[in-house]
Amino acid sequence: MSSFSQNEEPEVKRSKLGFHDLKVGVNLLRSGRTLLGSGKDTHEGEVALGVNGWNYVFDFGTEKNERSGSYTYENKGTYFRVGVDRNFVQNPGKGNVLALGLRYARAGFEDQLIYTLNNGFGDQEIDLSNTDLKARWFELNFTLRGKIVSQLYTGFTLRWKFSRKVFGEETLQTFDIPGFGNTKRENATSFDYYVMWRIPFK
Amino acid sequence: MYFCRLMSNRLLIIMSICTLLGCSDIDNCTSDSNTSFMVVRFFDFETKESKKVGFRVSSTASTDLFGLSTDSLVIGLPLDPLDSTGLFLFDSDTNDYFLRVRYDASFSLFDSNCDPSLFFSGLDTLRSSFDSTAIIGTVTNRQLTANFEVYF
Repeated sequence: MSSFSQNEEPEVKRSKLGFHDLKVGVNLLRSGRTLLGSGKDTHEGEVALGVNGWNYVFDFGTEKNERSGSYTYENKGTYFRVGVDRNFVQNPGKGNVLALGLRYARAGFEDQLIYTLNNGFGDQEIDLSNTDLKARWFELNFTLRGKIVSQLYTGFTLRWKFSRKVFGEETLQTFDIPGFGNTKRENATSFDYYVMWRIPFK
Repeated sequence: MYFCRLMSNRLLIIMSICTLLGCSDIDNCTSDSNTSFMVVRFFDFETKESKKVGFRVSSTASTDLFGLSTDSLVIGLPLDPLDSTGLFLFDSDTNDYFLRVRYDASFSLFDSNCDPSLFFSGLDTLRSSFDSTAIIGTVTNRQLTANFEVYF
């Protein structure tokens, strides 16, 4: 009896730690837009560690926007988000997720505007760029993930992005922030759809 | 089953909110409040009342003449985005004046369907031959009635 109790004790400690799964996935909407040729080249991956009803989430993405008309504007860079979700499902160990969470996000990027302007001083070629732009923002996320088959899960994350700041702007004010969206508004919302593979820990 | 029911109800609500938020993103180019020119308003130095003037206004950086009718209280003057100072000459039949200003040019995209937006900030007077000048708006914006007031 004594040795049985001693053998079981480490298992109780692992249970208290509560690691139940790791999910690795991709953002299908971003990759889909890239494949459909929307003028945006973007991909994003997500890693989520499930621990005792909490999910610790890390996203990493790349984004390149090209806009043209009477002008050419190009913006490219990378971003990441890190944060935590509170999972409200009754048994989070099964891998389903219904969660609210917070993220801290940062982007590093560059942009360039080429434009011919006549402001009363003849035709002037405007070629402006920012080569070392940084941005940060926070997000309030609502996340749903459900099992499709085996360890394959899918679901969406709805994001409300707020409190953004851009650093490194010069004469050109940036229009896009990778991972955030355009800068017309102080806040932004987005809808991301993920397919993920789950690696259970027990 | 519990999860599926919960997911479908929540999904409907969330998608509705997304649709509403998406629909509210309606802008047109004319709602951009930035302007690519500064506004100068004229006043009588003695009475401080608005003054109608008949200047012919030119800039040393441009071959254009920024004409002015004989009963104008105000004029909009474009600034060179590739420079940080501008010298404007105000010629009339009786008097000639000049106004040299400094500024910082900025470009932004108000909307991807509009031309890039040019505006100026940090407006200041460097030199002037008017009796007095006052800066009342350091940014070129449609919501301001003037950037400079000149008194003579």
